[in-house]
Amino acid sequence: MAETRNNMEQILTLEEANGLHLRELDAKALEDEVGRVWETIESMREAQVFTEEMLAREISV
Amino acid sequence: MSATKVLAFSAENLHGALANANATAAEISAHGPATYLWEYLQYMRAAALVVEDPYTDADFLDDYTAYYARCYSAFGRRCKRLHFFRRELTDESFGQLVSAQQQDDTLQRDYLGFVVVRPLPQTIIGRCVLKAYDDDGGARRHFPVNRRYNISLFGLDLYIDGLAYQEQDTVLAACATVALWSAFHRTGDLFGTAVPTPAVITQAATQAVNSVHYGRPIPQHGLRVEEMCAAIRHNGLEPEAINLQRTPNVPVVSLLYGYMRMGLPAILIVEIPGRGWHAITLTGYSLLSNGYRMQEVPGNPTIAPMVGLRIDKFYGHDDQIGPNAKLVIQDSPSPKPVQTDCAIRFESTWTDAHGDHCLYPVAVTVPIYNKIRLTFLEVQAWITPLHALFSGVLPEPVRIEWDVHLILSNDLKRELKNDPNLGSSVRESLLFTHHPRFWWRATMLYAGLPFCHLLFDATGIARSFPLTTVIWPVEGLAVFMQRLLDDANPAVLAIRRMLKTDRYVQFLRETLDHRTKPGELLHRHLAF
Repeated sequence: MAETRNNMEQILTLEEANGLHLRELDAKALEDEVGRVWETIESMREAQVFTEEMLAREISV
Repeated sequence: MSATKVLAFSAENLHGALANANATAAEISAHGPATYLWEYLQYMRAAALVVEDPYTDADFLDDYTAYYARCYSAFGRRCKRLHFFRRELTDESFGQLVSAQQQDDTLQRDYLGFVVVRPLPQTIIGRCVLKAYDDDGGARRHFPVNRRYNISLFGLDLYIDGLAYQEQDTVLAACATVALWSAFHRTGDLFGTAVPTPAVITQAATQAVNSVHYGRPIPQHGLRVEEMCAAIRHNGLEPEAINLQRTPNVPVVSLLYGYMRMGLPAILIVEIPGRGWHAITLTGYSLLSNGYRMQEVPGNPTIAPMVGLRIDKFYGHDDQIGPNAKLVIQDSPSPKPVQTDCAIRFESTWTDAHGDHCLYPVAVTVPIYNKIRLTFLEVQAWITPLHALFSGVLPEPVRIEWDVHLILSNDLKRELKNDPNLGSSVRESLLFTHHPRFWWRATMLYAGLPFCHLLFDATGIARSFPLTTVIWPVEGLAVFMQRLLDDANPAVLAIRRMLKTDRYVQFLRETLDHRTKPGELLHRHLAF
């Protein structure tokens, strides 16, 4: 699988981080994301529920 | 009289040493787990093996009294124990090591662990603890689930850091029982709970109040998720069970990491197409320095990118393959050959009915201490909207990574003490404050540097505002966030909607006001 994210290649120093130019927040773009973000969070909660059918499956291989 | 043998490490000698009255060396050479053992130890550069014969193994003795003693056929109650060393040994040189008054300290360096050999016809590999793969200097392979075992070998004091493994005997234990048995070895070390034998685990699981087992518990054919949970509760722990069939939006790799980093043994339940469900106790993970996958769940950019994106494989005790078996992570194609919504699958040495090597995760169970009440998925409800906010202000959002994990307060304090990015007042404020025993820490890193740490009281409950304090090491971000969250900023309405509650917005403001003394918020939390 190709490496696609670049996380640790060049670690920022605290000094560089403090000098980082932060962007002004696009309130409209953030507002547009609200529905999708909370839909994802709600769907994660479903993972804490087990169906009868699933509970009845034997782990037996 | 003990029949000790010192042998050069070779396939022939290993198979001979694993043989017993019920299984010949030729039969063992065709036995999958024995072949895996040979390959594993060869990779670990084993050079010699010492056979301790006879050896009385408490786990097998319990299995023996529970079942084998009452069989018409005679099975021995004593085992053998094989010890492996990364140095060449002979009868003479080993004899000198044993009889020397002063133990040779370098022997420990070369010790690779032991395997108990059961006197059974097929499932010969009993309790074994082997050294895990080297950690590449701490940079890639991590085995946080390992614990220390002390071994006395003819008066030599040795130890091995690993996790106990055995193959299922299909009589008293199938894969689920054995997975629990390995997991309980670690929880016993972490929380002081019991380390029951496979026979006791099977008994506890199948005597659950609501258990309606479709077959007799012994011979053992398998446990259900519910029965695994019952065995965990019986051992004084709570089962954290996550259903991966219900939703694709579980960032499963980061979830597993979140529990394992503290040393908790996660039990992965997978479906092998055409074969059925199987349980594997995870022991470690391989963490790369750069990303291995792009998104936690392909096609859903709202999920915060976490450390799991840099994990390319897990290691697990698979009772039918061997200890620390590799599980390589792959994005799962759609449609899948089994019923699961999980976004990833694992490539392993298993072969399904079609000759493929893929395992599809269907559930995860983690035995946890009962005071840990907050879950990884509940923490997501706090960091997912905050991630959307940070993504909107940091120049290259692709460089954001969240590190979400459980941590003991003592370990957290140790890490805070050595954190070069924190000022002395921040450090002192946190170190001199009373902490809950367990934290969920969610650190937002940007280009590898921690920009903020959110501390959640893991002993609290999701609806009680478990977010206790936030540490802001980067002053530039803290000042910017203060301006962003100010009521005078028109964007604050959108932020409020994203974070869902005014209380969250207000709390973040307070953490920013208290950023030189974040411990003060812990005091306030305790006062409620």
